[in-house]
Amino acid sequence: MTTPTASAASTASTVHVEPADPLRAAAAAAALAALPLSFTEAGRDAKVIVVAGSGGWVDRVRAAASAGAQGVIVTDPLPAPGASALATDTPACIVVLAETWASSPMLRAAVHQFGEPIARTRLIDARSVEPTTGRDLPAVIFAQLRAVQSLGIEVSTLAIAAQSTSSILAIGRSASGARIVLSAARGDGVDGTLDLLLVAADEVIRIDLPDSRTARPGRAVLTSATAAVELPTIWETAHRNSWRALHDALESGLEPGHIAMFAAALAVAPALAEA
Amino acid sequence: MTREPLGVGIVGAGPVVQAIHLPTLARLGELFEVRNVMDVNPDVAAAVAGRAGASPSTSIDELLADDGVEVVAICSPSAFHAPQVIAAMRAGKRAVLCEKPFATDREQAELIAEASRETGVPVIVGAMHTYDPAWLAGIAEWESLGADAHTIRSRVVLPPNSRFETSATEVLTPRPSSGLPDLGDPSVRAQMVFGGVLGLAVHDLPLVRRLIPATDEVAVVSASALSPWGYEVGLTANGRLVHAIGALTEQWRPTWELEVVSDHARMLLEFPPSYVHAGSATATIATSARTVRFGPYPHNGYEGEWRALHAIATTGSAAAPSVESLIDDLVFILEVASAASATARREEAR
Ligand SMILES: NC(=O)c1ccc[n+]([C@@H]2O[C@H](COP(=O)([O-])OP(=O)(O)OC[C@H]3O[C@@H](n4cnc5c(N)ncnc54)[C@H](O)[C@@H]3O)[C@@H](O)[C@H]2O)c1
Repeated sequence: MTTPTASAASTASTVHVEPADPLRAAAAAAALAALPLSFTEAGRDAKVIVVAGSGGWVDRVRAAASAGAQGVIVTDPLPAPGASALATDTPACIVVLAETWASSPMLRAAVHQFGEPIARTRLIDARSVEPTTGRDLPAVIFAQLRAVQSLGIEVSTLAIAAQSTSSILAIGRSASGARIVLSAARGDGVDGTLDLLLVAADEVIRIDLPDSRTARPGRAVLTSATAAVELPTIWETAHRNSWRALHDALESGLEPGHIAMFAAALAVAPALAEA
Repeated sequence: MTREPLGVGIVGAGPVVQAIHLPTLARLGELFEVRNVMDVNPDVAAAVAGRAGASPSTSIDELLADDGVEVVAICSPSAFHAPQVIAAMRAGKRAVLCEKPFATDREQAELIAEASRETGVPVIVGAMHTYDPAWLAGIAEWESLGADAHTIRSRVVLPPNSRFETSATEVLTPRPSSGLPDLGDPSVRAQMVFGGVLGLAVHDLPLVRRLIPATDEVAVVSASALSPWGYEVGLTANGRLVHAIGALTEQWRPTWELEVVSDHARMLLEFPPSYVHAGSATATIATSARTVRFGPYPHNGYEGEWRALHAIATTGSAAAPSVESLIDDLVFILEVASAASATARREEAR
């Protein structure tokens, strides 16, 4: 039996999408259109404010909170150093991050289904190719780091080992001693998928995560000595998944912890943040 | 035009010969006939020679003295490759196939080059991916696009070899199982990374060298031994980034990928595992305009290398790769292996 995402009993939250960044605003509008029972569009005094994650987003979050928003969604947040302060001096509202890869519903499903094998991993290798018009390469590595963290892997160290205008390599370790390799190349003719490979002595997990704006499903496959388990496809964008997380958080009152994890990532690899 | 098959002498008759070369040569019966099989272990020599209907030998001199042997394949443990290649050249054979790696240090490589210059006997190295038809089609397309690789990433994650060997042949000499290495020991880490580069990355580093303009400014930027067995190596060469991962696991799925990225194109090569006879790799090249795929073709790089050897032995050494380029490959491989193993040795204990 399937259950509707939002029961008719729960009330829709009013939401306002700030127009500052057209691309991010368009992504937010698409998420909103896909959750008609949970959210309805309203003006500036809406319960939920959606801010663009481009430069200055930390200030926009604070402004929305001070103006009385109960929830804030940050669309594709860049690694801004100021975000650490949000973890200590917390705004009086629930903040949810809608991130490329880290917010992927397939990533969540993998954590849920493959949690123990993920913990046994000795090597985590993340690779992507960023389109020419895409993000700066350090920001891509930061997004990869966020995805690795979101797998439930505590990243202890991460440092840039090599960087040029066309490619970047960062190397680190998890708290349990696994080697972490993050790399990104710049090039066209690709679709912005993050390719994660986790290797343990007896298992391998391969996870593909498309970019945050497409509902094309990711893929998660665990291979052991005797079989392979592939998780069911989920045709939901990462952004919509984050919006649902905010809806749930508003209902339960439980802060989802995105900001704390984001701040932890910044603390591990401050070099990836833009000044 | 029909020709007599070329007589083959095989030096070292371990699992690689049993699972790879004898089945390949059986498919190429019009081109080759195995005439002599040498192994220091007389039982192995006799048994493997028996399988191929060849004469057994227990010394390389005995094998080289066999007039039926026209081309020689060196398949002994790596440390013996260089002296045996040189002996086959000096014996005036028509061509030599040397299993990878060509040699284990630069001095040995120079001695091979010298013997090759003096004798004119052509040699090829059994780095099978360089002979894989999908790689050859892929690199031709890549070069016709004018693509300039700036990032190359290799991933090799393999189940136990026995999974493949025992499907390709009935192995006479099962490999001893190795214990769990102690990665707390710096020399174990150094050895693992050196062995990983010379044993696995060795297949793709010649492809890497073909893809980047030069390898005279190589800097290893990361290297680590992986538990229970594997390597991770990052390097830059003339401004390009190269990253390689290799891991031996107990899970069943073989992954052998090489990804090449330029500003406007991406090529993904997916190779079958070693030992099996399952056709070629595939090469997928994507640009913003279209994606093209080459392969899988019916034959793999093993068959490719033997076909190349036949062409060289029958039409002359002009068709052979230059010994200098093989030595440049080896020098690059050794440079990466030693710098990476030094880095892995220094790694802090964990
Ligand atoms: N192309 C590939 O896919 C591939 C895969 C694995 C190994 N290899 C290479 O193939 C070669 C053989 O590999 P293997 O796994 O069969 O090796 P192995 O060490 O298991 O067996 C080699 C055989 O050589 C014999 N031998 C030992 N010393 C000798 C000597 N001085 N002269 C002649 N024979 C001698 C041994 O008795 C054994 O039977 C190695 O160089 C290895 O690097 C290639």
